[in-house]
Formats: sequence, structure tokens, C-alpha cells
Amino acid sequence: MLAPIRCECGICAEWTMIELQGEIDVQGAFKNEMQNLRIGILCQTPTEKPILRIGYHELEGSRVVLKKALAVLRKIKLPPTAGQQIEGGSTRFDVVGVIRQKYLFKTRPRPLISKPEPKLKKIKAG
Amino acid sequence: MKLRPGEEVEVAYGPAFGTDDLHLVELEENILQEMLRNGVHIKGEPEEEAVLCTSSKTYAVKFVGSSNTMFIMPEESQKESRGSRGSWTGAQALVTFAAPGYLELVETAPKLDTLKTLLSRNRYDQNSEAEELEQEKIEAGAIDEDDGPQSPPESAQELFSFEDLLERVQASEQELREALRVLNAAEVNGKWRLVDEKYMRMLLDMILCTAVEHDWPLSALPEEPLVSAMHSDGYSKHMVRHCLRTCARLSGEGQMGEKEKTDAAADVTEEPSDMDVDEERRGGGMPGGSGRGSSKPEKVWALHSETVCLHRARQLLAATGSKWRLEDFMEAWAQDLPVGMKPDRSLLRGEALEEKVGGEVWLRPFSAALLPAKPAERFDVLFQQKPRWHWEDLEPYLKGLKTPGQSIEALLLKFTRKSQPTSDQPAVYSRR
Repeated sequence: MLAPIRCECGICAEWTMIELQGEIDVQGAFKNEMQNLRIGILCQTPTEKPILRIGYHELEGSRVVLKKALAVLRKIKLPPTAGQQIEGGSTRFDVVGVIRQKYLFKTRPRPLISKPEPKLKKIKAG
Repeated sequence: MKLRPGEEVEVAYGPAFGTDDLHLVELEENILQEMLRNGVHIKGEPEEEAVLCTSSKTYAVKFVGSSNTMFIMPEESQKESRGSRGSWTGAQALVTFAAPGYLELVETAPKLDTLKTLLSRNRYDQNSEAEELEQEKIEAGAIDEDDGPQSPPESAQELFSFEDLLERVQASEQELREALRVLNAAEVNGKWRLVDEKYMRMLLDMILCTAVEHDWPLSALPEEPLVSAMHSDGYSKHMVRHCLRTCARLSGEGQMGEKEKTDAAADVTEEPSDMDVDEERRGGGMPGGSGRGSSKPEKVWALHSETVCLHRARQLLAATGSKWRLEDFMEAWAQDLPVGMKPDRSLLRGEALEEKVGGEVWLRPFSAALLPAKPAERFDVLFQQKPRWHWEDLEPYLKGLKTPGQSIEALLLKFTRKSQPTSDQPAVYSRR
């Protein structure tokens, strides 16, 4: 079985990655409607250190160029055509983006006391 | 995305978060470029581990999981939030998916076992030749020249075109071509076939006979006359040509004269065999003579003397199957060779082992071609044959073991014990 990987445009748009240690736990009530939910605010400080604020917490990170690029592939299941005997049809991958750098946050979160926000850790953004 | 100092964006789950089936693959830049420009392929049957093939190489695909959270977002996130309910009105970066890890590529050897299995179901031998000639007669009887090749008899069901093989075998295009060349496979009517060894030897014998009969020098065999002479004796034109490609090189006014590499690979890739088919169909019943054929410069082939020498040596070794005194063998060999060819002892490497018995050297038939492909099995057979090996004896029997990520040195360390009595004596390899 052969699944082609290809790119429609030939030069793919650059995508971005934000990497965090551990995971973000979405409150139960929002688990099923995460679309459009705010994660946090990413900001570039004048000292070159990017900062990610999640609720009351702040993470300090860095912008890292990846040693090897990551390609973002979209898997597409093609419905079986009439003449095809292969069960379930064939598969195709489209390259939709290329990631060459990431914002990496590997420190523990630091609580923000000076700037308390009125809302809870997870708030629903527009 | 690169933020300027002081710039802020809201990071949020996108409206389509988690709905797409997205995957990350880590790539070297050259593979990435090939993927973007020409595309690459993931290959594998459900029971196989998937590999990724570029045009020239094969890579195993491994999933590397991560306990980190990796939020992936496209560049063109919305600049302004719609900000109906949220307090944020600035730029937004929308996360499309959270990757649980990524796929990593590790260069690997092409999985050629499948190729051998597929092709060995239906080797080309004397029966195939008989069938082919039968088919030719039927086609010659048919009036319409433009008829495509009619579906040949039963055996055709299990035959594969290059595209069929490329789809089924976990190898890149270049590796597949190389493998077909190494296996001395032939393309007959668009289908690739392994050629039965015995049949091939018989064919080479017949070429040698035919050359003598027509007084053609072995360094200048004219292709068309040879092919048609042998065809009228009942030999397949495809196979005579194939035999020339594998055992000879183009010389004289061959179109590829200036090329260094006129080996079988070049011939196979650069001359699609439909040309042969085409010519043959035009040629029909009249050997050697179609208008198109004669207008082209005559192709002239020079038989590789090593191939002929080796062919004769193998025949001799196979004939008795027992030991030869080296001197006797060299003598018998020289007698069997066509005029002008000299036996070369170094050709016997990988065909027979030299052993010193008393003051004499003896040859023991031991063919490298018959050894198992798996390293452990191969070394087992080697040490059964002989407990202690010198490097120069061992080397020809290790051919084909080297794969990406597996060097011969590493294999020797794993499967042998190397000892060297003193530094000026050659090292000896024994079983570990």
C-alpha cells in the first residue's frame, strides 16, 4: 500500500510550536468545548525572553531553532474508488506546514502575585 | 511567528481544534525539500512496519512520544480577535492541535525480501521461453500490428511491472532499480522477471557457440544478427538481449559509447524495453530487418571476459562438486575458455576456498551466492565451513551484509573473535 506525502504549493507556510513541560489541565466543564478557549498570553519581553502567562501563573521560556524541521502532515482518507479492491480506500498525506522554531517553556510556573486577575485559571475567551 | 519585543498575543484553542488528523514528522532538510517539491511515499502492507521512501532512500518511521505539551499553530492566525465575550482585543494565535509526539525517520535498508519473494514465484526459464515463442507465433498470425500485447497464458497472472513492484516493495525507486540490476532481473513485455540461473548459463553457452559458428569476435558481437540467429534456433529475443546486457557491454558505435557506465543498470533504465518489443513486432517474421532497425547504427557488444571466465569456472566447479588441485583447475579452466581469454585466479574469490595441503594449494567449491542473508545465519554457515578465517578469505563472503546502521566492523565484533598472535602476522577470525 502506497500513501503519497506531498505539498500542493511546493513551499510550505511556516507554522509555530509552543512546547510546555507537563500538560494543561482544562477544567471539567470546558473539556467538551475547548474551541476558542483561551490558553494564555504569550509576550516577548524586551530582554528577548518570551513569557507565557496562564491565569495566575507565568512561565519564562526561550525561542529555540529546531535542529531538524518538523513537517505538519494532514492525513486524508480517500474513499475507495469503484475499481479499487483495497479495503477502506487509500490514504494521502498533505504537507500543510513546516515548523522550524518553537517557543519552549521548560521552567516551573511562577505565581503572579503583583498582578492578580479576577478570573479563574481558565477563562473562556470570545 | 516571531514576536517583536513588547508584543503580545493571546494563545487560544482554535475553532477547529482537534478536528483534523494531523501528524508531525521530523526531517532532514534534504528530505523536507524533496517532500515539498516532488513528494515522497509512505509504504507498507497492514502487517508491515511503515517506511518512508524518497526517490533514493528508505527510512523506518518511528513514533517518538513526548510528555511535554506541544501546541501547534499555523502562521496566519487571526491578527485581531473577534473579542465578543473575551476581554482580549489584540492578536491571537490559534492552536490547531496538540501533538502527542512526532515521527522520526531512521535510514534503513530497503526490504528486498518481498521483492525476491514476489519475483521468485515465477522465474523465467525454458518453459517461459517456449510460452513466449508460442505467443509470438500467435501474434505474428494476427494481422493487426497495433494490437497491444495480448494477455499471455496462465503464468502472466503473477507478473509485476516496475510500478507494481514499487508499490509493493518497501524500497525507494533507485534502490529498487539497483536491486533488480543486482538480481539480474529482466524486463519482458513490461514485466520484471528473475531469470533462472541454469537457463541463463545455457543461454550464455549458446551465445558463445553462435559467435563461433558465425565467426564473430567475442569483443564485437553484433546485436541484431546475433539475436535473430538465436531466435531462429528457438531462443527468446528478449532473453538474448538481456543476456547481452548482463554479460557484455556496448562497444563500437553503440550510442552510449562516451558513457563510462554502460553496465546493465544504465541499459535497463535508459532503454525502455517497449522499444525492443516494438522492434520485434515490426520485425515480425523477417529476422534482423526492419526499416527502422537498419537505419540505426548497429549495436555491438563486447562480452565481459570476467563474466565468461567466471561462467566457465562455475561450470567446472559445479561439474565435479569436489576439490580441485589449483594447478589442475587452472589448466582445465584455461582450456575451457575462448581464445584470447585468460583465467584469473582472483575471480575465484567467493566461488571456492583455497586450502594449503602439504605443499599444494587445493580449491574447495564454496559459493558466496548461496549463503543466507541474515548475519547470524551467515556467520554460522561460514564457521561450519571453516573454523578460522583470514580477512582476505572472509571478505568476499560478507558481501551484501552491510546495511545502513550496520557496518561490517560491527558485525565482526558481534559474531567473531579476532586474534592476532603477533603484530606482524595477519589477524584470524574465529567463532565467538
